[in-house]
Amino acid sequence: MGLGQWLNERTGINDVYRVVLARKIPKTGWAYTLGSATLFLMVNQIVTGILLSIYYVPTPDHAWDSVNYIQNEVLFGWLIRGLHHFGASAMVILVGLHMIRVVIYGAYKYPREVTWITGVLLLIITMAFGFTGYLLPWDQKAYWATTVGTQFVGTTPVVGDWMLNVVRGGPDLSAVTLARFFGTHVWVLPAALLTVVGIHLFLVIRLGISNPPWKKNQPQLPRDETEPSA
Amino acid sequence: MTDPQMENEDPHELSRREFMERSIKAIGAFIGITLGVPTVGYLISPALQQQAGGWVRLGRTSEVEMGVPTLFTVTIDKTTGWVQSEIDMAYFVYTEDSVNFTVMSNICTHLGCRTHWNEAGGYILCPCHDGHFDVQGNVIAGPPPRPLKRVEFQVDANNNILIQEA
Repeated sequence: MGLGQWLNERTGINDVYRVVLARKIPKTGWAYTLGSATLFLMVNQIVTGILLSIYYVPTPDHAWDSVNYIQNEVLFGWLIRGLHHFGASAMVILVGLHMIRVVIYGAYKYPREVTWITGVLLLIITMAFGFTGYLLPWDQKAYWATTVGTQFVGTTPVVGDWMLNVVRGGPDLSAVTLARFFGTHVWVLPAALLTVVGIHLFLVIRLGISNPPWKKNQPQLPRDETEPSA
Repeated sequence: MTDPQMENEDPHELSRREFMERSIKAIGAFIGITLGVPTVGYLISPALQQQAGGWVRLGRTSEVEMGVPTLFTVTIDKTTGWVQSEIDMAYFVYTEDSVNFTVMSNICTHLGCRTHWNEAGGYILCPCHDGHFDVQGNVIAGPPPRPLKRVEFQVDANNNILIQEA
């Protein structure tokens, strides 16, 4: 216990543990685990994504070959890529279910409006992750899905053509498109995701989770109980 | 970390909270190991893959100058990751009698620079850190820790010197 005590004296890590992980919550149900499940998948996506970047090369002449190399040559490459690929789908599904839970239970109401707003931002960021990641294998499916997906942007009145050029980095899909989708996928979106997730989780911990609607008449836990007592 | 109010009266009985804490740790450890082991394999994978090379022709025995390490260059097809490329390799061939040959890599054993024959000095020189080797590839001066690496070779019926692709 020497090291733990030494660390706690200097960092207050025990209080952090109590407030963040051992905090008290109302009696709820499985539906309340959807946010944590999404968080878990986010960690999975980050870890496997970093691992994929060890081999992946985002240029038209290497993208498909490097993905093929990961999938068929690298030891456990199929597993790492599989976790990232199917984890992405699972994350979109869980984010959706999590949002539906919040809507049905009315958990977005006062005082949790900002939690809800950051949650909507996270939904958009997750979808952007899915859209940009889909292009990266640079196979037929990726190429044509992104052709169609970016074409939507072009249908915007007046500025459509200009916006399409911005999104694709030119009138057509090219090396420029692949590079900017990659940069967005591995730098822009993760930075945004971690920032907004930080705010989202801070609010979840600060405000506590909402009572289920069928317990409306029970008082919420007093704020004091979640505060560090020492 | 456990709240005293949540403890069971019987101290030997596993409380609900303790059970959950242990379960979470056990599941966490399981996930950590089942992902950690493949991750290590994934990262070190390229070091585990070996290429068996075929024999390539370096040159004819008649091209080797007597008593002077003669440099032969050979282009080798190499697959690194998903990229196939041609790599130029160079080898010294040395003979004193045109019967017995020595084939050695020209890669310096110090830090991997390419060495060359210094005609005036009569030694093989590595320009990076002034390493000197004699005609047989033995270190005479400078930092190289070992002689130049000898390479396995064979001489075919037409007097071609063949070496194994590395």
